[in-house]
Amino acid sequence: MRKTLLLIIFLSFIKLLNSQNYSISGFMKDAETGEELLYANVFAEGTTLGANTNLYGFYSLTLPQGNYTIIYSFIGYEPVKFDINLTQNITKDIELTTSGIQLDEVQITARKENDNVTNTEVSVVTLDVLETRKIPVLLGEQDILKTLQLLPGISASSEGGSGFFVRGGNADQNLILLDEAPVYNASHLLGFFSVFNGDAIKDVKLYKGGIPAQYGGRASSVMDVRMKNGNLKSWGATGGLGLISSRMTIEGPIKKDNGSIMVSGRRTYLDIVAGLVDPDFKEIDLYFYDLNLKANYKIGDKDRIYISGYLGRDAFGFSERNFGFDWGNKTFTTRWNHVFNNKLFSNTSLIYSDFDYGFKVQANGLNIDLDAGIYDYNLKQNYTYFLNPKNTIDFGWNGIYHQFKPTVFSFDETAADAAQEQYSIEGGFYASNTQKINDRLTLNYGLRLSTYSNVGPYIERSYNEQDEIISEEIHENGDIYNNNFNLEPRFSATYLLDNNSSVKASYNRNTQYLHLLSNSTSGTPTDMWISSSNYVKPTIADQVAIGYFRNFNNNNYKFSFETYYKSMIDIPDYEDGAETFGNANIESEIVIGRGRSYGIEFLLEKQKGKFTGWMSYTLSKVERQYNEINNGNWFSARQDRTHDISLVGIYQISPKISLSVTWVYNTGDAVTFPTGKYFIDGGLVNLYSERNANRMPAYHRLDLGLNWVLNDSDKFYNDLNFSVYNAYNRKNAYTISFDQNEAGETQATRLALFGIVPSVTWNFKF
Amino acid sequence: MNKIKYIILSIVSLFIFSSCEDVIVLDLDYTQPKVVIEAYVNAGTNEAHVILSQSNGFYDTSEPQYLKGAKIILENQNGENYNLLEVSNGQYFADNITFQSQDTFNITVNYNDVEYVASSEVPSEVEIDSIKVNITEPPFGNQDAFAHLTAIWIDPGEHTNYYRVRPYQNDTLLTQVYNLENDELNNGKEFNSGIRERFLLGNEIKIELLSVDENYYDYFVHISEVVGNGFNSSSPYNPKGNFNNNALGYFGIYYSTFKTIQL
Repeated sequence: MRKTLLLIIFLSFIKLLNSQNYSISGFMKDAETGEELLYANVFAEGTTLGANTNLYGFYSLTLPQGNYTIIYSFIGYEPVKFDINLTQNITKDIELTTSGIQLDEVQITARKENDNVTNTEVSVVTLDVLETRKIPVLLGEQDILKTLQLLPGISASSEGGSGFFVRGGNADQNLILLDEAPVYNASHLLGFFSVFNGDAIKDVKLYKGGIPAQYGGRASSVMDVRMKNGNLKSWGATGGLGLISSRMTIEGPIKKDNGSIMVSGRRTYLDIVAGLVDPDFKEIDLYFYDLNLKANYKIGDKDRIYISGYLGRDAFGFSERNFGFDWGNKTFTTRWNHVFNNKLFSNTSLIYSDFDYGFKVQANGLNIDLDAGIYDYNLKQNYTYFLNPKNTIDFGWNGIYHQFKPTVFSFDETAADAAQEQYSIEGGFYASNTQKINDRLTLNYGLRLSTYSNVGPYIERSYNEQDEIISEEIHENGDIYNNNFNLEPRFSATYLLDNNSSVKASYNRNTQYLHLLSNSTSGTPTDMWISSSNYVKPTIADQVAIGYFRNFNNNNYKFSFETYYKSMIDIPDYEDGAETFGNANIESEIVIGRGRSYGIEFLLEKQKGKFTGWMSYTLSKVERQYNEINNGNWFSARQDRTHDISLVGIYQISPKISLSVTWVYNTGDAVTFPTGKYFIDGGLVNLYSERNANRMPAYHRLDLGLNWVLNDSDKFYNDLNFSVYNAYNRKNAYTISFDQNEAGETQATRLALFGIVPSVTWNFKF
Repeated sequence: MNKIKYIILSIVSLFIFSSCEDVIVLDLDYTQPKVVIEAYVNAGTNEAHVILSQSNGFYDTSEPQYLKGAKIILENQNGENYNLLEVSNGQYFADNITFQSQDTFNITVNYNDVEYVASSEVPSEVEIDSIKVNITEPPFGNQDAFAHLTAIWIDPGEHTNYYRVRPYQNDTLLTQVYNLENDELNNGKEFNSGIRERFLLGNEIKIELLSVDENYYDYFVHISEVVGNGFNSSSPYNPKGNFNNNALGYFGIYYSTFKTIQL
């Protein structure tokens, strides 16, 4: 309370000093669809004074009294100019029309041509969802997560997988937000597809470092995904037919220019096709589906309400045999944007989000059920205060109530002994300022206070080295205990060397209170989220990064170089031989360790002309240390891929046909292989090396794509997309297993999951 | 869980037509052989056995490399000593071992002037009661019917008990199946332990129930985890038994009873 008061006094004081200034503010939108433009640019011609729209498309530019030419611009759109005589505060909503040149470009890092050089963001990637379409992918299922994996510092968790590691972090250290709601399991079908249906997505931004103070809760990265609002002007539909799935999106105005709605769905038919191929698979259910829904409505000039939801589910089972397994995410977000005045903008969100899985089987007449999940209730408020052209202040808070439901077996609806449910409250309070010190130097500095408390009822146990319970402490319903407070400083700076080059630096500390424990390397839906507790401490990560950014040839080529060092403490993992499934005392199976990673990243992009694309290279080291593993020595984490290269090229042969090529290479994962063998009770047992002392074979793959626009008129657009995954049929090892052949010799067997995979997708829009 | 993953993967790969498995040769640097000690006392027959061997390189022969010339002494808690004699290559043996229930034994294996020591406690005597047979029709056509077997016995109430069930098909021990049980949830009750193996009809099956001590149980729980192959992709490790000085293997004490059926 006192902090807020101080802040208000501070703000009003600064305001007094600037009282002869006026501001121009409003929303920037796409003229055709009415979608807000995020991070778009507005500036006064002939000055260096400018501003960007925020996450909701709102901008505010404060200038001294006078005459100005204001220019609004956004990449891919025609800039708009107009003259004003600024003698009072002005509210002005602006609509920009697309420039039509957009189709020739693959835009991955910036919104203004030299934005990558000038903005204060370090280690940030934005993706233009439309452009990801041209990149060839597995089975033609376009996927923003897979495109992100082609950029430096972001790597796939496994072949064809949508899980990812950022700068040596673990897969659970990425905060994945869909319209502000955390998504706990962002993949379908064992990770081969992500939950993000490209048709429903408007904007994706991934922070590898320099994470702004408004985000908290995960140690390594933030991926902020925004759904489309829906067309405010007219009704339309987009969709596609693919080999394994189809999708359809309908959007349009509820009331023209005032409110719109968007509904998008996708479903696979893998099981149906599999049944046709082999009759044995006829009785199997195997599918996933996604539903995205979003609606918004403007109430007066100052308020706007958004409702958005996501529902996705995977299912697998034999319906006739009463066996089934299903899992999925749900998110629901209600948001209220309010413009207090020309300078103060607020957003209030009420968010629900869950991930759960269930399993049922009938055995010997007994119905066995299993359930587990995580459920979140989240309230948050963000404010943007456009103080003056030199300072933009963001502040806000949020509170999340988490409910963790561990794996519970029940037999004929009688629950078996299981781990206890856990409850907790996670809070965050933050303030940050983006300050333009002079024409060359811009700073962004902020502080986040994160809090975490466990909530009863819960029986807190402690264990000895044999994992036996030595004491119990009982917390009653509603008791709040294990209170954690962590201050997380966030800082980034940009120094312009000239118009085309800059040096940037950042530091951030992040605290993570929820942990995903996984006993497998590729991740399964049964991996369990657990809460920090007396025993499992929150993970704290510190990262510094320095980068050099330079554009050549009239911003046609962009080059960046970044180097980083990240150190993490209190990373939980399962101990060797942990009993995880349905274990009532799961905490006794956990060990706590440290991590460090460092590396350099290069990115060279070509963004104009018939040939576009990029080259990315990462050289890095990722290590972990646990007292209980490997005699306490540091060892390579699985995702320690020393070299990681991606090449992406798109060639526009004619206005209707484009060709694309991607090639990826990375050092094989660090894994534990047997080096010897011995015999116990007549059976062969492998003798393993130190933890992760071996390497999988290097991974590389070439993909080809062809996009052919069949028809492109105002009324109807459709194209065909052909892709060939793994064009030279490289046998990349998905797993290597060690067993005995019929002659009794031990051997290593490689499973290559995908050979050459051609596919075709038909996309339409009307 | 791994089975489910396997089925999903097979469907995905079936659809894609392109997954493949092949044998590859890896460059695995094998450094030092390790001593492996399998030591157990069969409390029912009052016999002690030790099998002493060392590990092989992964691409070496799949025959155990037995170690000769070790000096092995078993001692009970009253200080009575038994010398195990080498009866054949790497096999050591002693009989007429005496003890009381819940006694502790120590074993000392001296090989090449290195001493390996472990201790273990005599478990409760438990007998197998019966075997239940369940014939299952296969999920997809063109496969043979198979049987699932359940071993049944009564757990004594007073202590924590640990069990291992060993199936033999036509007198051959099925070595890749580990059925391990403890009575944490079942103390003093009837046990129905489903055996994780499909038995084809027409075979003679022997089911052996071992009432084992905790060390034996813990060791085999870890062994069963690391021998699970293929899709069991958690980080593998070398199970530590109760011997010191980095010896692989275990020292355990058990009672053994069995039942035989013709399927």
